[in-house]
Amino acid sequence: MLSGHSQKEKEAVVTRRELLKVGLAAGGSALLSGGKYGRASSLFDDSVQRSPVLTPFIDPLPAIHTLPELTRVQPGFTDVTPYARPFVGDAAKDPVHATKHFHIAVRERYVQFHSQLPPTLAWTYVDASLDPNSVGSGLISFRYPRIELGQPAGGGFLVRVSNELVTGRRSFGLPTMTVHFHGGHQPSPADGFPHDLAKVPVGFPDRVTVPARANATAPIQFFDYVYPFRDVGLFDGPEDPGERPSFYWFHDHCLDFTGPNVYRGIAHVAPAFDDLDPGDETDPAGLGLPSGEFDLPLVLQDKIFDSNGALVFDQLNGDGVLGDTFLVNGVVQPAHHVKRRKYRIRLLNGSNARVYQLFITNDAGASFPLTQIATEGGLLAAPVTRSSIQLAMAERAEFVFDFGAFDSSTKALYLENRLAQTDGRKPDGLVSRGTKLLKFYLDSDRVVDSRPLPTELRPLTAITLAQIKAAEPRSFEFDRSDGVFTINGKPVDIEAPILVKRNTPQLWHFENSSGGWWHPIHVHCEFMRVIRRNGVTPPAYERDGMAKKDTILLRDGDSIDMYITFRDFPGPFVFHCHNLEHEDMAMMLRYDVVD
Amino acid sequence: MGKAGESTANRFPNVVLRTHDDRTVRFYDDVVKDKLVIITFMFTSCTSQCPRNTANLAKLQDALGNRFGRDVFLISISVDPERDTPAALKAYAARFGAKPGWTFLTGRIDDIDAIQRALGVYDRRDPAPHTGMAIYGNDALGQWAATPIMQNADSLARIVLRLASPR
Repeated sequence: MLSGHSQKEKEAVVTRRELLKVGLAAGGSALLSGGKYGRASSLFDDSVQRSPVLTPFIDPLPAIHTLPELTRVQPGFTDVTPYARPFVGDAAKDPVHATKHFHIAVRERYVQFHSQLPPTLAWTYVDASLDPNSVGSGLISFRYPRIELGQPAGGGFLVRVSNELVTGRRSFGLPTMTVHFHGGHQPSPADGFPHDLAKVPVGFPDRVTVPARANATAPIQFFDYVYPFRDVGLFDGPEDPGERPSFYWFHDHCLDFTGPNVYRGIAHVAPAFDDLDPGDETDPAGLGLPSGEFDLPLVLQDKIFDSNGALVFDQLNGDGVLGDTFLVNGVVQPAHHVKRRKYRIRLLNGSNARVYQLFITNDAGASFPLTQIATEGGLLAAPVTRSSIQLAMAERAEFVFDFGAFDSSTKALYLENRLAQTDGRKPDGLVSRGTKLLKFYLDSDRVVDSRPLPTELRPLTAITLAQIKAAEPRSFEFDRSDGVFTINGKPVDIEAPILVKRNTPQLWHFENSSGGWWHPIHVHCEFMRVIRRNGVTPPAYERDGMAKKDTILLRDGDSIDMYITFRDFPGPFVFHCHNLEHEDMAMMLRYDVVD
Repeated sequence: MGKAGESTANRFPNVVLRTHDDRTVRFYDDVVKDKLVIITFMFTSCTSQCPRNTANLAKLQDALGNRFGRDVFLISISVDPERDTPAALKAYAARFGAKPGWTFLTGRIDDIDAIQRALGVYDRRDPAPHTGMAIYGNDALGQWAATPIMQNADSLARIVLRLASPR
């Protein structure tokens, strides 16, 4: 039943909506009478539960579908977006290195976020061949090919994204799409640049965003994203073995509208593999990390629903939009049956403004150590044991957890967030009993396990002191003045870049002077090597030599020194706060990589 | 069954305001409803950011070309309404060459506070509570966002026109 309410039902729906509006208005006036002084946002009190109360752990955790879900278009597209053509391998001439073609559609569809909620109209990335009328979680993914050391890793990928949304419908968010492959190293036209530029740099396309259709019969527009996914050195120098798979995600990046667009569903994950991390625990050449059903990507998000299941979003809350309902892989507080053995658990904070601190806990409230193995930049040099993992927006962390370490008296464990947050600005602090996001049922006997976790994962040579001294220093201050988020005193001007020299090592100093706001800063195109946090050596899970980062959290007053080299792709990129409301409220800077 | 996007209904206080040409208007019914608007906050005696912001908005009306005053409207609301009478706003508008389609508004301080709160730009800690951000939105489509006033006017026009209703 996707449409077709009876008239009576429609009236009932309208009545409930009206009631809800009254409720919101009343909440608004309570706020106006001055409960929260000095608050920049207005409409909602984030500490109030507005969504329907839903029974947790009754819906199964959706699996992340992988490559077979996607239409692999062969032999390929004949009308490839011009900038991408040089990257496309010719299957006829060189079948081994042929570029693989995929087709994703951005589609409005009903998604069942919880079995007690009516289906919700969401925007989703879907396999373009999917039946337009199907109901589903909207989750798709794809895996990169195995990369052989010393060999070109095939011709990479070309992903066509068609925007099937229609303009002119009353809704929050802007249905103009631009896809950022987050963590990926791709040419600037394929990076999901936020806006079509008026002053177009040489070699950059006039149009990089994909507008929605004026009506349902108008032609569907598309853009081709090329992800070469080759070692950097294959373009113009020796191979760089540091360019390796990680837990990527992709999401919309539309200027001023990234927050609402991502919240409406325009985000997905893409794990990638190579010879060392082949996604097959039985492969003797690999590290033997848990694979297949034992490799669990978990996308954490928070949303607000009204009683009809509709998404609620305050587009002018510049502090950061918090939800009161927690989802994992697009389902509210799901449950998952696990085997008694080791799992690889991949976490993505896909929320707009919420920071998580994640524990594995039991019913008695005890928590158990996690062995972290990866960040945004892929595998760590060595595993790091932690009692919990704090995860800011867009950050990823992977850990190995052994459900086989528990005896048969343990029937359930939880992924629990113990970081309370009632304001988009920053979390309130740790609590002893948090929100259980996901329930693991331990209901099987012990099964065949993967090999013991190696003590070394992916070697990473630390940047030397000499390299750091030779790097070009630059300083960026993240602040807020006159009600505007700024970087070095300025809000974003998408037509006014700073210039960064290609293949010239940079030592960037980030400083959060904004007083009371947390800012996870995401730099596009290249990974960051974190040299210092607040003037001293950073913790093992983020410091250079152990980890690479694409998003680094600046708590209030924090400073970071990081090393980065924009090795090859020229042109415009951005870095920005990944509190999506801060980003949309102009906390972004365009940089152009130039010779 | 839930359609997204109705969350901003009722967000705009329908308060009574006075325009720079001394007309009485209601904020939602007459200023925002069904229109694509760019809303900024200022006061005429401001010597810091308002003059340059207002000068850039004057360029924006030109950058919007023939769509200005027809498809897109500019609204500047005084945060010092006791001093900024309609006459003061009229003089200010004339000084910056405001064209038809650009309305300056004044009113009761509490009502203007309410508008600022509704638009997410209220900050009582700020002694001069105005902002360098322009709030822009198309009420007919329910789409709202913010963008810095101080950027290239052509760029600002391109950003805002993304929200124009299909014709």
